[in-house]
Amino acid sequence: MSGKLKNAISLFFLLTLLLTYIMFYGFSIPPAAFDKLPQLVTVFVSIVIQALPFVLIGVFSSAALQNLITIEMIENKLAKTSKLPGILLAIGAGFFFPVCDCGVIPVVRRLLLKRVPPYMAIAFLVAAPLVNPITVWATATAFGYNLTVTLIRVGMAVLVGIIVALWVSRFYPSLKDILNQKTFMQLAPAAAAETAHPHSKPSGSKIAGIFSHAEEEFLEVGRFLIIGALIAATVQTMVPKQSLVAITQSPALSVLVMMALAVTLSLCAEADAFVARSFVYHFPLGSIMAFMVFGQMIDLKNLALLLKIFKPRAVFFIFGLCAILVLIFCSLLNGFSANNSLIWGRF
Amino acid sequence: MKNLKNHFVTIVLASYIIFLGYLLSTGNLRKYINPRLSFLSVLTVIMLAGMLVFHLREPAQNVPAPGKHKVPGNKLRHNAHIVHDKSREHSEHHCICGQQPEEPLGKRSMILLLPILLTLLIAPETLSYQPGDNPGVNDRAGVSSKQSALIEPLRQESPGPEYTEYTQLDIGNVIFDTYQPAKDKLVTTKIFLQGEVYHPKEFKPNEVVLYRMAISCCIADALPLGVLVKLPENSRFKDGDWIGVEGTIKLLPYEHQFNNIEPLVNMVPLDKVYPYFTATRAYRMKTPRNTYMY
Repeated sequence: MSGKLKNAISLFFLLTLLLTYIMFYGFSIPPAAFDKLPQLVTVFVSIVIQALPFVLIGVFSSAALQNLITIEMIENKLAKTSKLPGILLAIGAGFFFPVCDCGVIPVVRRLLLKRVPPYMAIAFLVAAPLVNPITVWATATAFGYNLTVTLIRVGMAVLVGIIVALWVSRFYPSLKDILNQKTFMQLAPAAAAETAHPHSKPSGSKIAGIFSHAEEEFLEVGRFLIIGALIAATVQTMVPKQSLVAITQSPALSVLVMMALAVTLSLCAEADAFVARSFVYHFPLGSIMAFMVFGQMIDLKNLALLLKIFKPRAVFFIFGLCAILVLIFCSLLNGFSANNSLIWGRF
Repeated sequence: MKNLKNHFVTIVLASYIIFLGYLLSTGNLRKYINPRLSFLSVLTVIMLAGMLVFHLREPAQNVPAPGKHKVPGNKLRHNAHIVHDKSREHSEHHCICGQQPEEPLGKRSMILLLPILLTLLIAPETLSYQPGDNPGVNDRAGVSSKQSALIEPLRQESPGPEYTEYTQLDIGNVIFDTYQPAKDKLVTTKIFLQGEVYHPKEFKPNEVVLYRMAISCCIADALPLGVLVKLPENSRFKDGDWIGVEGTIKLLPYEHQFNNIEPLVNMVPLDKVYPYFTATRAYRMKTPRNTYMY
């Protein structure tokens, strides 16, 4: 069956479903939805404006990686590195790479196309947005330079990064397992080209190459950013934060609620600690940590970007594992930090 | 049609540069993000301008040869890298650098212009605090807008010279700071404070929360910061009124009955005190052009 015919049939079914609904229930959009439209647009545009520079930095970093580092260089370096040191190297790079959860995705895509082992790329993907200097500084500032909170956040990111990377190395060892068909098809030609045309171009050509790739990648990544930002803004505007806060009294449930809240709010790495601080009177430390850790690993804004590169099954595995680990660690933390004594302790 | 995508790329890049340039030059950027971070938008404009200049500089190269994929930018380089992938059932051309084979200018790409088009069609809205159990405009004080205007007419006057203007954020910064002299100064100074009125049902008729929204990065993380204000006798305001108050602040031990009042909770530092403002004068004011705090 051709693709066009499939699309036509899907469209027909959707229209039939819509018409049936309208016939039985009538057509009415709640007035509140219209009332909230200006607010939705404002939040949507603000998320896009805020994320755009970080995405562009990610896109230019990716383009620079493409033009300045060859697959051969990476293979030579990593040939001597075993698994755990490799993972630690990837996480260690995150400490010096000021990249947020949006900007990290183009960089990871490029690393994978350069044949960096998936477990190293995933370790970087999971940990880098949390351990980079900007996030660490923002966390420390938001919590009154409380070293405990900052160290727990960084430590948890490193621990989750290592465990997830080890599991990825076991269950998704090759690039074929983890990348979707479209991204994987770009691998073989990329390697062939580098063998045929090593990157020994004059510097002017390299700069031209960086701009060329950055532009193309921006067009690709940009639309997924916009879809993600639109979904995040819609959820944030239509679902009141208090309704989520109100349903939780149990410490374990509160961890889950805070993880869900972090995913839906899609906050920037620089801001999420300030928002998290506002919950200290409602939630124990473990739940607040779940908000700060899981929210920088995945959110609605970058889900579309991830699905552009990885197989949906791999995305589910990686971030499902992240969710389970964060849930376990944060529930344990809730047990150890009754009454937020770890936060209040220094006073 | 050949150059349609090239033109589209030019339009997208130019639109974002003009849009951000407009927001930066008019100061309207502060309706979306913290002005402290406006340098990031300047950086965005620079990066996009670089892309645009590069894109326009080599338009001739942006036209692909028949049968080869079209990638904006330095096309000579891309075309040189195209290889034929025989391993696939269907013959396809791939750029070896890992870029996507060109898709026709599809509807999906149009979404890049959505934020700009929406901003042109729908004016940005200033966000305000809406308690979860009572969305929309609050009117718990039971005073209509008309009555409120009768009781407290709008005043344009500014506070007396003996009053120092503090924002809720300034007060928060002082009480979150461990520096004791700043706290001592706060509780001994005559203060002028302005903000939006919110009257929770648990409060006495002459007690309100005077709050403003504070932005760390962008509107998505806006938080209401509020101070509990005891109004002078016979002052009546409705929720949403923008008022100014003059008086003094005390720091009192935090009471857990405030747990559900988000603007107050956000102002409670880790040593669990909260600011309590006793107003000697209170009057309605014109809402400022920009109500946010940064």
